[in-house]
Amino acid sequence: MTSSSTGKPDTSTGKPGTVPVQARPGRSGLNRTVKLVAGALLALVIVWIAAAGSNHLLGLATVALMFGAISGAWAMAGGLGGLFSLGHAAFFGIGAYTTAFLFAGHGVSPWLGMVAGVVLAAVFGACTTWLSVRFRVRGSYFALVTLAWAEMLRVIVSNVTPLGRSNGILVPYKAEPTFADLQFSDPRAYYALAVLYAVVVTVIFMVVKRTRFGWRLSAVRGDEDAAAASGVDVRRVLVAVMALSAAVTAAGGTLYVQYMQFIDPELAFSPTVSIDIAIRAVIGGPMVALGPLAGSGAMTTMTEWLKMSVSDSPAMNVLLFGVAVILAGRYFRNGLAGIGASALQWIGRRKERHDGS
Amino acid sequence: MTEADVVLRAVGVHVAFGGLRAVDNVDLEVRRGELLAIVGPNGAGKTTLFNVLAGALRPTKGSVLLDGEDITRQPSHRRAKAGISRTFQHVRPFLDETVLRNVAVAALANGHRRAAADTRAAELLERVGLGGRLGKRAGELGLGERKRLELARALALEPKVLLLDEVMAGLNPVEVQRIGELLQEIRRVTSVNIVLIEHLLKVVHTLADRVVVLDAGAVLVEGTPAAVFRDERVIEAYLGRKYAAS
Repeated sequence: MTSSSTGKPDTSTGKPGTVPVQARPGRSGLNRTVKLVAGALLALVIVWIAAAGSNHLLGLATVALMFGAISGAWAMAGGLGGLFSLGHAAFFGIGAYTTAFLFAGHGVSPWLGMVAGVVLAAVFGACTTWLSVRFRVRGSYFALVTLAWAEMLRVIVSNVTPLGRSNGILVPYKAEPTFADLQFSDPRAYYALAVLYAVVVTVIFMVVKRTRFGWRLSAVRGDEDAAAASGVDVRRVLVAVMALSAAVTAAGGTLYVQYMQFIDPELAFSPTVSIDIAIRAVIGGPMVALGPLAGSGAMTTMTEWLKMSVSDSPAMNVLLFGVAVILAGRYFRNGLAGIGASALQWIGRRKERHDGS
Repeated sequence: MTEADVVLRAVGVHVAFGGLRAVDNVDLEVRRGELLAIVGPNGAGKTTLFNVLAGALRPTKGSVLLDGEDITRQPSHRRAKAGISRTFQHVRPFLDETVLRNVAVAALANGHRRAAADTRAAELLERVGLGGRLGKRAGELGLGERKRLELARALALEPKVLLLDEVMAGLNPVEVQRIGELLQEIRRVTSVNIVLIEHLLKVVHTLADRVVVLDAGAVLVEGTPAAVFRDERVIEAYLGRKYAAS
């Protein structure tokens, strides 16, 4: 027994700030520097593209940012919550279709469409996740169930006439678009919007991770029974995180459809979209706020580079991504972010040894 | 014994897994201020009964009452908040989290904010002798340390009843001694009631006020440690008929 253990009964409420700083995870100096440097680099690339990029590059970067941010939304559930979803196309598609349907068919502002899509997606995410958690469907089975939900939506939408069946919906471009129409004549405006969306998603991710909700979430990810025994309402936490992830994803769907001005069941709901969303986070690091964005940048860069230098065949791309994902799964569980962290640890150890000798 | 003296009560609890009766009509009471030990041969239904008390398992029949209130239908997390906390037979810390966070997340259940939860967790970890380990990942701890970590996590809920499922199992004599002293200190310092599943009869002898022996899912004998371990039926259940006769 240590001296402080001879204290009074368990009535103390505790005062903040008495815990040694190094005991708090994610607060070590090295870790912090890495994050700052990575963030600064990313910001630099983003600004440089806006200032000096061609329209082609700008277009690529806009989509990379949108999907990187959507992947960040995925990572809230798939990374922080441990709910590996292969059905995020459902939420993306709900956002895109709700907006397009209301705007093209009824002239409703996409901003309102975004709100409607966000609410619908959150409800859909909450209900489907509640069912999976209730019936203890987890792991690979959870992933398969989410895939099935998205496929179900794809088939339904392909057969509903007001939604354009398999032809999809063409979003009309207004001759003189206003901000309320979420359409712009300057591609830089879409780009700025994508940056803003990415920033918002990143901030939400960081807030989720650091709050009490995030603590509970990571306990649930670690061990659901032990979390429940620690007073955590497992079902509520998982349903909540999926609802949030779905809502943020749907907002990305709105931005995407206003930018592309077209949506069809394949673009919205196909498994390819779900995999694309998940894979960017897996490659970049699903536990780190900037991981999905970094992964998205890497993936878009790689796709373009392969197109130019190796082969135009999409099969080649898929093949190489397969290899990248296998490598990430085997050696770099935390994606690019994990690689960065290991590299820095290695440098740190070397420096220590060097200083010590 | 009035009703007010009973903190936790199980009434006619049955648990059946298919055709197997794991727990068969068990009545159990945990009296205020006591340390109750539950012993019995492997497969006697001790852990199953614990799971019923903690809410991890719903009984086929029967009910569980905490301070007179029926909590049979409350899920684990509600019971954890209401005052029943438990450790696991096979320790289950959150391996990727720090030692501090493992305990702090349970302290949130009392409505603490993050900083207060950290402080509370640090105090409890100091008490169980893990004060120097706050920033380590729980996965890096040895078994003895993990057991003490789970104890701190269970205490962070500020429970009325602490259910300890073989906290000594797999530990060396020094660690057993240490946890024994720890439990005695916890009893001195707090008003928590402890229910212990334990195989080490020596430990039960020194720590327990009362012992309940389970065999084949039913209560065989209950009483003081001295009386229980002299009982022929208990010796027979543990060692077989031949030894009981001699």
